[in-house]
Amino acid sequence: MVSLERWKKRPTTPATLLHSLCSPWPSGICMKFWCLGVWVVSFLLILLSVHELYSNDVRVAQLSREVRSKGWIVFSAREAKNDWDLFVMRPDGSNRQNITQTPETHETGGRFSPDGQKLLYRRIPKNTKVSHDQWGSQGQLVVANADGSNPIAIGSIGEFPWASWSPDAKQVACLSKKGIEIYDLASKKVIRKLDRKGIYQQMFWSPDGKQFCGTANYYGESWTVVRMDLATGSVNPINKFQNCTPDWFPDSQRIIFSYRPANQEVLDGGKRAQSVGQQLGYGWTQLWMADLEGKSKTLIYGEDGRHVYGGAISPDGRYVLFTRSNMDGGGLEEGGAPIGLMRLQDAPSIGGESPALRKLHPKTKDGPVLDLGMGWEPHWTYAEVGRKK
Amino acid sequence: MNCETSPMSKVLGPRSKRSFFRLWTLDVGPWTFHAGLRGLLPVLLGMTLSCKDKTDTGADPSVTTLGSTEVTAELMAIPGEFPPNDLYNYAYVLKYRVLAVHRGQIKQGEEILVAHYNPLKPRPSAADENSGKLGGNLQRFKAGDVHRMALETPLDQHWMGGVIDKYFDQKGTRYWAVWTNKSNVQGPGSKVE
Repeated sequence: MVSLERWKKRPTTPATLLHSLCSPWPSGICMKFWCLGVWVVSFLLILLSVHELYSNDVRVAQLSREVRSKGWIVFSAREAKNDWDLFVMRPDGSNRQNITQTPETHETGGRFSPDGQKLLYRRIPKNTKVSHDQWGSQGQLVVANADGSNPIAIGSIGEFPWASWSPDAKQVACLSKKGIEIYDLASKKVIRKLDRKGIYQQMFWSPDGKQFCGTANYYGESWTVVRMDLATGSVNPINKFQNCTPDWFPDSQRIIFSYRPANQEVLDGGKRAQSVGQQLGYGWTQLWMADLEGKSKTLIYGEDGRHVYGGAISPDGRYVLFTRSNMDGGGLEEGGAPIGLMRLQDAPSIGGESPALRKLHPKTKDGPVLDLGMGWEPHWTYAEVGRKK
Repeated sequence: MNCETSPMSKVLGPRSKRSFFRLWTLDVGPWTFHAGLRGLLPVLLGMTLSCKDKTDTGADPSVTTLGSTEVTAELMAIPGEFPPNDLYNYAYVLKYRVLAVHRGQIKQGEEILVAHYNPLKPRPSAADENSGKLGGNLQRFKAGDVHRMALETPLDQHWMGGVIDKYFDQKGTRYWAVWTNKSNVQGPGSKVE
């Protein structure tokens, strides 16, 4: 029951409200100042959050300005007509252009030649479901100018699987059950054959021309990222167990790859996994880099609740591209995933709250990540290739 | 002893309804009939089971023609647990003891390593655009079961994808299972054809 006296003394202004809130507290402490302190601290916290948001925006904006004129990015994305096309855009996400525009076929896996003058990709029949890990052997190989003009089909469907540019762009290395075959592009003749030594997908030729990287079976372990020495044909593991989408650094001395470590801790009660229909304990795929012996391994980017794939390094080795899918498989079935861009000097970075990942990697730099929109398997050249609007 | 009042008649019914059994006993007397029937039932049962064994060798037009090697073999063990294959396809290497060799250079009694494609899937529905032709009537893999298999080799030439091989430290050929049927043949040296 509220007494009449107390009702009459009820607070009617913010000041009296503050006073009334403070007055029930024990004497000996200046309650008014204490309450004022609470208000001030809350205000400062709000200011800090706003500042943090603002500063993150500022950092992202800075990154955006920094990369804007650094060449072009090619990537696959799903068009309104529900087919996959190839697009190019500036590294800040501007000037996005569809360079294939073929509603009757899918186009995926665009890779600029090392000199940035040509582009190779797979053209896949519309009635074929594009596979997130078999796309390199689906459809037919096409070589075009870097802006997508003058596309020429090389061979028929299923031929030249997993084609990868040689450093001079005159040859392509292909991966099939038969092994690794290096073709002269002009004559389409095999000029060298190698045993594939367990490599079964995502094979790429190093910029120095001396090595391949790929996803392989290695000593009983599938999904191992390996390096193959072309001179000897020997293979060594970079990272074992649940790895894929390897690619080269420009200096050919390091490899970037995706890795889903085993036994990842679940600190959210499995809510994120449940929300995407993922088994509890399945884990999240992260972006890593390692040296050629697989001895020095470093996290580049990770985020609890996201599978990070398609890592690609900028031609000068300063920036990293990747996709952040909330479902495993790179988001291909859902129309791709947000493409992210970050500075390599900001590695390791962790996105979102990611309590489990932050527990494992407490010293992260958490640099800005530029969101470039939905896409898949991005690749970067510093050459000027974009079509003029 | 009156046949109509004997304990057996309570089970079999009146004599008039036993014409079928008369054929077997030639109706030489009630006691002979009962004794003959008692002896005959296990024999009939045994013959039935024996016939069933003989017809379930696992042979069919696919397993006897596909692949370059054909064996009847006992699945010795399933090492570990098959991972799910809803997103990633793989082959899993299993160890068999060969009971009979129908085609190929394998020796009877030899232990062989066979890679099965997506082993969580029943063989009739396991094939897809990545696997090439494969199948069989086996529904699920169970250690101790006997399979009749059409095999190919080398594995690398027939499957380009993840291979989980818990026997990686053991040298030797890894066969690719093209066709896998269940068989009821038991034990080494059993006659299967």
